[in-house]
Amino acid sequence: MKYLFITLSYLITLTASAATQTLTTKYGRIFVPDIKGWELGKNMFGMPFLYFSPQENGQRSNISFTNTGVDGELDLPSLGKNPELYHKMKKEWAETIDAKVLGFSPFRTWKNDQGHTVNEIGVEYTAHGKDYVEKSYYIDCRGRLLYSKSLRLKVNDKHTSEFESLVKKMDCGV
Amino acid sequence: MKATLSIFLSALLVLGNFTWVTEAVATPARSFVPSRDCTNGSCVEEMKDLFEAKLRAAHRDECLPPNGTRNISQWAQNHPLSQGCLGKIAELEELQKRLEAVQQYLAGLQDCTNCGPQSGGAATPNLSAAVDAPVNQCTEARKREVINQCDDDALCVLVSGSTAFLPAAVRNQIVPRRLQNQGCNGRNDSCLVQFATGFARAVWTLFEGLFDLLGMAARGIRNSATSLWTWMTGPEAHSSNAQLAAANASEDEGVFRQLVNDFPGTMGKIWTALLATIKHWMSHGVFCQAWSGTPQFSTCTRPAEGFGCTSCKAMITGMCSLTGTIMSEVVPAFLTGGLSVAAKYGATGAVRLARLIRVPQRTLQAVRSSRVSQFVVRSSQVAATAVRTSRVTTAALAAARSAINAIAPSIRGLKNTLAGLRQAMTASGAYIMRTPAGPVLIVGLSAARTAGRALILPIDNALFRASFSLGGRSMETVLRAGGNAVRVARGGTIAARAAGAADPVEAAFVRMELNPNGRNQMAYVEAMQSNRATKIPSQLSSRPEITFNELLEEFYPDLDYGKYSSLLTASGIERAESELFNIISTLPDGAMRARLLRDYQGHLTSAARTGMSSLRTFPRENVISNSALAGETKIDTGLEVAGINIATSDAATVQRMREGLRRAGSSPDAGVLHETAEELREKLRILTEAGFTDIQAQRIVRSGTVSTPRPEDLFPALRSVAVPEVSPQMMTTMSRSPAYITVFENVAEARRPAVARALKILEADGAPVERVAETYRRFESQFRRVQEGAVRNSDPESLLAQFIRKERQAGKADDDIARQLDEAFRSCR
Repeated sequence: MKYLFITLSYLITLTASAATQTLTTKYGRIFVPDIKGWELGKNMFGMPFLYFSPQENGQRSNISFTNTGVDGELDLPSLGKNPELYHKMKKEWAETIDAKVLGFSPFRTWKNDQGHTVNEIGVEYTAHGKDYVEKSYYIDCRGRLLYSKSLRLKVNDKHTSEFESLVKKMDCGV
Repeated sequence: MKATLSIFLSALLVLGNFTWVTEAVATPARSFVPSRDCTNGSCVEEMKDLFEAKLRAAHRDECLPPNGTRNISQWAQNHPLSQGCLGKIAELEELQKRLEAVQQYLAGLQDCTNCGPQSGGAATPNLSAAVDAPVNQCTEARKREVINQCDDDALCVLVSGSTAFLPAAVRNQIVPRRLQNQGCNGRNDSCLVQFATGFARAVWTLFEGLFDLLGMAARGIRNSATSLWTWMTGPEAHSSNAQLAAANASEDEGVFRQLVNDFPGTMGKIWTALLATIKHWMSHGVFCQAWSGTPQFSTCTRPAEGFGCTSCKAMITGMCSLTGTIMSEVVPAFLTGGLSVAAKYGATGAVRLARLIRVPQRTLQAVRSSRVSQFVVRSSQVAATAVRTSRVTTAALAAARSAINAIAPSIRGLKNTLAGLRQAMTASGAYIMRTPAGPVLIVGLSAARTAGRALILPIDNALFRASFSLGGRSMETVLRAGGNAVRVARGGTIAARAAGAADPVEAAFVRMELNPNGRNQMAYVEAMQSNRATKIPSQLSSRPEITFNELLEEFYPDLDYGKYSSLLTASGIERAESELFNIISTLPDGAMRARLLRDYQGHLTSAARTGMSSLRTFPRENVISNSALAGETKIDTGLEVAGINIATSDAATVQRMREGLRRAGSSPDAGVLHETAEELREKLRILTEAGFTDIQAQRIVRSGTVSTPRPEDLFPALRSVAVPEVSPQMMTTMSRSPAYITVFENVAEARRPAVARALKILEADGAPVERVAETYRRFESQFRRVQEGAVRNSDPESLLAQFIRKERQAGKADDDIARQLDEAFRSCR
């Protein structure tokens, strides 16, 4: 019976394979799936890569990918011990842009499809009359810290699955 | 030696960077003559503000030790100085020297008690005539002229202010060709450049650079959550600002296109809008004379006059000491809230943009107290004020002297600190070290011990001196020039000295660094290939903590798939892979062996290798699925992977190889991609004995065709299937639904929750329950097949439902899907 599952798994893997785009940074390469209709911006506001969704409810959601160049050995999951420090940091940041924090999503650690550990935490805030959902992902990818952050309007919930899929499938190489 | 070192440090600190532009400057800066450049102390206020602002910034950025530091040498050894820091120190030292020169000059001046017109400052006999002269009136035409000049000045200084962040080619995109042709030089407007640099830093600072590697290493940040969060504060804020600004800008498609296609040019426009906005904020916010309601929160009914004819340079110079405040409190709100307006309307959007500026009361007070307040006058007073303030009086000289005296302790303190730094560098040695975050100057080698592998260049060497004499003043240029490099490995072990080319690998490395072309890269790889066998054993035995990435970086550049591998043939790469496997798998330290082997396998199944078309690659999914193949299919795949052509090969040889594959496959292991080194070596031994070459045997092992599948690896797809939760209440509701009654009736009770979850997956696309039930019935025989062998807590039904859903989404007909499934079931038998 187990071979049945294997075959099914294999079939699904084959049919699910999609084009991958390679983001080359000075610290190595990042591989993320290519999503139809999304657009890549490079070196905007100092961010090496910003991946934009199509416009939805008047705005494009975006997600950044950064190879920090920091070698692993960081105990990233320990960040979950003090999420209140993150909360404080975000509240202080919000003040600098006249925004207001609405709430936080909990810190969680999980493995993505490539077997890399993802540490995730998020914040919801309102700025200039609009509500936003921001998530930070600290990813230990083969001993190197990758950083990713997604941002969307709260109403653009439909982009959550695309953000998740990008982080789930994210891989890195030299 | 010490004298030479001192000379070159002086060159680095004083000559190397001071011109506001850190890149090589062909002509030396014009020397500063107080009697000419600061007549009667006219420059003192501005220089004093600048000196104080830069001193604060240098302390804030840890470019200088905190005030009162007793052991400057110890501080210097723990604080690598970036190129930016060296620039700041050089600027400060130059300012210090200028202020001292001005102080001396002012001390020798006679007080002016009866100055005539020739001295440049006596009151004009007919003051009212001067005030009324057309040239001194703040007319609409004059205002327009000032606005145009503001835009030009602003763009030119932004080019200068962006030097540290952008290459010259990109910087030139900021200014229109008209200004380039006129000669765009904003370098002399020191305060405006400082302001522009702050803006450039906000929009162009490379995000990767914020993950301050050296700072992290120096502070020992690794495992403390508190330290980690603190360390991430800068990157978090920067990325949040950047991404919110980008989201905001994407609201207008035209603006979004501008940003994506021409970010530098668009930022130039936004910068001029920022200056116009600040000007509007001054007249309609900070200095508003009357409000319609609550001050600062209602409409300004009587704006302050005077700003319309105030040049940008004068306005920004007036608030020079507040640059840091404006940058931290105004720019983020401006970028995150007003980008699309600024990009679309430029300076003309100032009225709308000024509403975004909200600063604390203390900042408002600070702006009101700054020298910018002098511009708040009625227009007819502008000329009069200008004339009056140009008078050289005893009071003016006294004010200039007093201003310098006020900062005399800071000037003395800076001199002592710099002398201490020089002394520390002379005593411990100073080096330029290349790090991922850019070149840094380190004092002694202790910082290198925590900062990773780097090329370290002693400052006192012939090539360094040569690079200066050739006019190359930046650290990057110096690094490119190479020289008697000392290469430092992680952990601080000085691996080899390249001086005199004693070590062929290091010599090749330095040659490649000097001139990084393909030939030199290949020579480096070849030198490494020929020499590493003698180096690696001692390195590995003395460094049990070495990571796989370090191993690759230091000894196997040929396995850097994104870089050097492209220079090699496929067989060359496979040879190196095989060699590395042999080294790792024979390591005596079990934990180290297992750790490096795991990373080795990850490296070989990584997407980086998969991306190399010349190599036979085995992505993780394929390796797992190969391991799950059965019987002869698995053996045939093994032969195919090894490149054995059954039709043209000797039958006896093929038979021996098939037997080898069978034996290697049944040789025990801990599961695919989790084998121990011993298990892999045993399989390789069996395969080579059966007639496969080393490379063929490696390929077979890597392909998974002689490995045992692991149960948990067999469901990669399930991991991406979000199996829906079905509560007992939902279960009851579903089983009572008329559409589903017959579905559940035909399912064993134990499997009903799993079937319910599968139905939920089929419902996910919004299909009505009747249609979902119909789909289930269409594939009922396939669902029964998977239920037959399903075990408790498994969800093959969900997997099957997901498969059907995906195939349908791909446009496949139900009959084709059913046929595909049936064929798969048959082959699994």
